[in-house]
Amino acid sequence: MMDRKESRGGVKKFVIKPLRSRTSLPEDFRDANWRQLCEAIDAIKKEVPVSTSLEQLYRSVEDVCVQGHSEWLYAQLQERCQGHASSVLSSLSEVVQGYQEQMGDTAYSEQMLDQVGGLWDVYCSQLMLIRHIFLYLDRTHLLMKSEHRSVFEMGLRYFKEYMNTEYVQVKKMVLQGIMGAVDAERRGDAVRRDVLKNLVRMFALLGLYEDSLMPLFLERARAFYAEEGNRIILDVSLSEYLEYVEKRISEEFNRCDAILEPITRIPLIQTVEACVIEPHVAYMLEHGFEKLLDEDRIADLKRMYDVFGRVKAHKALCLAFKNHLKKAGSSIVENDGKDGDMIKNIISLKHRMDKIVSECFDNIIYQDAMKDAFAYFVNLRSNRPAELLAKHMDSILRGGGKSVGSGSKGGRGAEDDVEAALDSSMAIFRFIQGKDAFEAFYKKDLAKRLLFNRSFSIDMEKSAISKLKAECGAHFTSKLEGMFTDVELSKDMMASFKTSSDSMEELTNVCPGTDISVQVLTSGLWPTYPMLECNFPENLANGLEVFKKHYLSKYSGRKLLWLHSLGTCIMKVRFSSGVKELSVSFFQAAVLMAFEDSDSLTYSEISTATGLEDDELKRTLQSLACGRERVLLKDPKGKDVNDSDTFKFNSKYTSKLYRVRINAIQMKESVDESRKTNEMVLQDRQHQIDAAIVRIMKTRKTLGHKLLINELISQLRFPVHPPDLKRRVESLIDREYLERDSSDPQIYNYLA
Amino acid sequence: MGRGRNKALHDLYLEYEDKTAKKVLAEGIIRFCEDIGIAPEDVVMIVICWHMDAQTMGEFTEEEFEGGLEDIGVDSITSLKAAIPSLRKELNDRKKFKEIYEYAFMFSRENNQKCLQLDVALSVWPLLITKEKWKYIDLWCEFLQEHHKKAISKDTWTQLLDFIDVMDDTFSQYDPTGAWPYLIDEFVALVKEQGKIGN
Repeated sequence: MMDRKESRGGVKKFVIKPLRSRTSLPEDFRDANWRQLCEAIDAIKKEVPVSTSLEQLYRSVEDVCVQGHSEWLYAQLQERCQGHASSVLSSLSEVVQGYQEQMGDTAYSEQMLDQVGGLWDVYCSQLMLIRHIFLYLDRTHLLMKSEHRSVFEMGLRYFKEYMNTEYVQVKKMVLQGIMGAVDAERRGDAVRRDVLKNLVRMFALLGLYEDSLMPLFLERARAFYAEEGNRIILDVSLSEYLEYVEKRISEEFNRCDAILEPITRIPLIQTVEACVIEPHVAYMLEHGFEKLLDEDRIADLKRMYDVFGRVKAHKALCLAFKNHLKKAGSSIVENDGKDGDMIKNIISLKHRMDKIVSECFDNIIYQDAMKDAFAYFVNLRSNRPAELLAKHMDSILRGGGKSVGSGSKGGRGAEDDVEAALDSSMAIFRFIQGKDAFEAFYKKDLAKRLLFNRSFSIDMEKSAISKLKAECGAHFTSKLEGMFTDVELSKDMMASFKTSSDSMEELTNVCPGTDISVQVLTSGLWPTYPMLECNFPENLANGLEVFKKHYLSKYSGRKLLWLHSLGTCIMKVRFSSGVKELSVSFFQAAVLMAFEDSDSLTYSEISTATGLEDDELKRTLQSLACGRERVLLKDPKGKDVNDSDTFKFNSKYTSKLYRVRINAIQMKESVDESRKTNEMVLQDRQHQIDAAIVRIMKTRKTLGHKLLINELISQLRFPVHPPDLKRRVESLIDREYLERDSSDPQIYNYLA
Repeated sequence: MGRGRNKALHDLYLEYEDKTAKKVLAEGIIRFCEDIGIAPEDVVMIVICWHMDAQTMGEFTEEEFEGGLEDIGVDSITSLKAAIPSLRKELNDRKKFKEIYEYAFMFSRENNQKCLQLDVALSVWPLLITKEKWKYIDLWCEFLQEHHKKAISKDTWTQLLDFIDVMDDTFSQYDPTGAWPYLIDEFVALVKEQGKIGN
């Protein structure tokens, strides 16, 4: 109503007043709205189109809520939803029951699962639709005030409750169906993973996954694999079983990802591992593991490492590895018929195992196990492996590339191969505990190589020494290095001898036409050689004296002793077929010289002429009369030389060569030599033990037996047994270095 | 020789002395034994020698002979004969037995040798160590004969007595890592192995 005021100026003012009467809602506003909503819900439930538009329905809900009826509306909705859930489950129950009658309790039907899945999908989409309609309620009342966080959740809750109570059979049948399907897939059938995934998701959404589905799933997996594992392991080889394990685990992993919730992954894999791996660890180690190692089956061994790692069974695997290695190595070492191949076989075993450990068992406990195993068997049979290793290195250092099977003809390639061969030998040397024994044998062979010029290459020799030095320290190799120095110094000495005109003149005077070459060895550095006497023709003896004089003029304080057992010479001998040069040992030369004046001599005549001791003489005569090059003839014939034999100069001797070498004995290894060196090592050790006992007792004055033994074991650098130590102690008691204490015989006192 | 000694003792000595050697020798000893009524191999002979501190088996010097009898407390054959049982008893005295036993080693060996020849040891041992003293004495001698075959050291001899004293019949307390001589170690090992414990 406008009031027109007369305006004096011309601006008109309008005033608007509110309506006097209020509009009012219809009486049944709330119920009318609800009726409409109900119709909509029913339609949705029946899966028929809804007559009112969703927009309108939405607005309707909003209106009711705004008027303050949220609570009431929600209660109504709850009731409806509850009913809805119940009816859906009832249908499900019918479906399920139908199949149950057909199949019984244990079989499953994909069709049934499909149907159930379908009904569930419909329910979910219905619920979503209802939610859309009641969105306003969802976002306001429910969010803040109720126990359910959303309409959707409420719907699920009711569904779950019914499924756990009245319709629990549905749950059971569906679970059984799922399990059955999975087992079928495990057995190789094709199954509808999408259906399964859907149903699994259903359980998850309903909050029934962790307490109903997962435990059952794990239990079924356990039962399946326990049976299958136990069955298969007896039927197939180890490598096939390992492949089976890997395959199954990967399948389960795959399937879990495809249809189950992620939370199942770890327990599932652990369950499988506990069924197919863990119970069979010992069995697998006893049936086929050794074969895999023997046959270098890298891929299988790698797989085994992984599989065992899954159940933390590395300790068992490593122990089995060590024991097998110990066994394999021991059988190589203890096979005394095959000593010639021992080192080669050990080296080859090491290479194979190195490869296996680096490619399959890349873990420090296996490296340690390998070391322990090697250290164990390399030290069986006391000093034999040490001796054979020295011999092995001797053949490398004599033969060069050829001896190590090098393809290269020489030069860098061959040298590299020799270096590699030496390195392999060093790897074995590292494990030897009685290194003093090795040194004794190595020294003996080195001496021969140096004195008879048998080394393939001095560089290689030096390389070997430096490798030994790197392993054991300079102290170990100092004597060996001294031997090389002696050889060098001898060369220098010979040079000075040859350039000394006085000496040369004198030499020509006493033994014309004879050339001399001398090696001077520092005693103590070289092996001990027997000092054997021998009668020489005077002129030769004098020739040797000329050298001695020259040497002593340079080094006045020294004493020189000839080692005739090592001497060699080249003699010109006239046979009926012509003159030949014979390369012989001094002793052989002395024997031959005896035949200068007479063609036939008896054993005793030769013995008197040469002055050689019996054993040596017999051996020398054998080499001249019974070997390949027979420059003497023995009567009676035969390999053994007896005191009653007679010898004749074989003027009819022939050979294709002009210069013939008959001094092979010195190079040849005799069983005798090996025995002597072993004895020497033992003697040396005894002395060291005695010295150690005296040294310890001198310091301590009085010491108990067990403490003394412990002290000795820690001080001595070679392996010893307490009984041996005890014997030395008793020997020292006998020799009155020690006595037993009068009050306690387990204690010793030092006797000054 | 002017020691203020009993003339009777000296006369007794002269009865057995070999005039050339100026000692009592084997022949004299045999007569001596006959006279006192014991066999020369009788163990009580060792006890008598111990009293004499005789240095060499098979001969007594004047000093040893007279000093010994004086030590026993007799000066005639009759009184010596009567003393025989009490001399035997000395073997049962623990302390004296030990001295006699250790003396026996020194006495039985050859003068210039440190060790006792095996065959001599094997004849002396059973005399001193009877089966009643140690049930394994025969086994011990057998063991040495078959497995050792070398002379016996003083240490082994003396330690054996310790061993017998300390060790029980089943060797349950035996510790081979201890300081017992290695021969005893080997003996115990063999006995255990052959299951002869208790026999």
